[in-house]
Amino acid sequence: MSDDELAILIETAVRGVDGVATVYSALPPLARSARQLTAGTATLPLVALARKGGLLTVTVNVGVSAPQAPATASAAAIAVRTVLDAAGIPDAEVAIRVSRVHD
Amino acid sequence: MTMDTPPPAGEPDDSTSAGTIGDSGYTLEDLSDYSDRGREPAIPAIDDNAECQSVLASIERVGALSRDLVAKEATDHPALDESWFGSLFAAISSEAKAGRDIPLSSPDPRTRLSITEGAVRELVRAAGDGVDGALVGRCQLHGDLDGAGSGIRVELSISVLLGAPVHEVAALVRQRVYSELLAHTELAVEAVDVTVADVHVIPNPQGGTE
Repeated sequence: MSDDELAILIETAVRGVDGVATVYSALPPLARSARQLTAGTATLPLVALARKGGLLTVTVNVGVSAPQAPATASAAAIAVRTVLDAAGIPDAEVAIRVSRVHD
Repeated sequence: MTMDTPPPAGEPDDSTSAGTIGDSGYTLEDLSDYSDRGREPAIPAIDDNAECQSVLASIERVGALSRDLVAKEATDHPALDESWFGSLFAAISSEAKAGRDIPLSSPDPRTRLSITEGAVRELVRAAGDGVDGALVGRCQLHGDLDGAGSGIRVELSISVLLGAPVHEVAALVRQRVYSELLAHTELAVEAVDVTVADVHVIPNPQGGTE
């Protein structure tokens, strides 16, 4: 499985979490633009994956609409862990960042 | 009635009306145009960017009111200082910057949960704007945001609709802001200071003012 495929699986899982209104790009805009140039018309994943020293770090930026952002962020992290466990990457680090709280 | 005290544009920041929103490459004017076009054709770089979406939400929340006010004042009070709204949107642009990550507690040491400073400021602004008769001019967070459980102070300036009960509006803004911060962050909110800096009017369809 490629990193992009894994990122899309994670994004899909997070979008399915109650209280997650949307997923925002976790890549800095310039980096995303650079990647888009090489990707052509292909849709880039919004979830950022980074590997350093064999350790995978997953970063997801979410907009939430549930009554409590901390609980939604926690649920999103569990959804990410489920995907990572299924992919055989249980030791990855996960960062969930609430970027907006929707009305 | 004029709004003759423009809200300060906030702390020095590179996200002002003269620059781009965060590092998105899009200016406030770009986003305003995008909003005016009904967000069509869709621009993924804007739609997927939380900072741009925050500014768009504020533009669309305040935009209708600002157009009404500017049109009314242009007719009845040519001396209206239209820079008030320019300063307001500059403050919104500045506040939309993601800023620091404010930690949320996580039982798993391999998992970091956080809410951005920009999300909290937008939360505060939306809570204030949601009170009938209130319009938030500036929002600032003071204190240590980096440590979960640390105490912070929120400072808001608002404009109040002419004729509305000022004390009640300010108290309701304070209460709603506190409630929203309690629900969506783990910050220890020591104070929510609300300053009524202005009054505003809204024209009614018959041509008078409310």
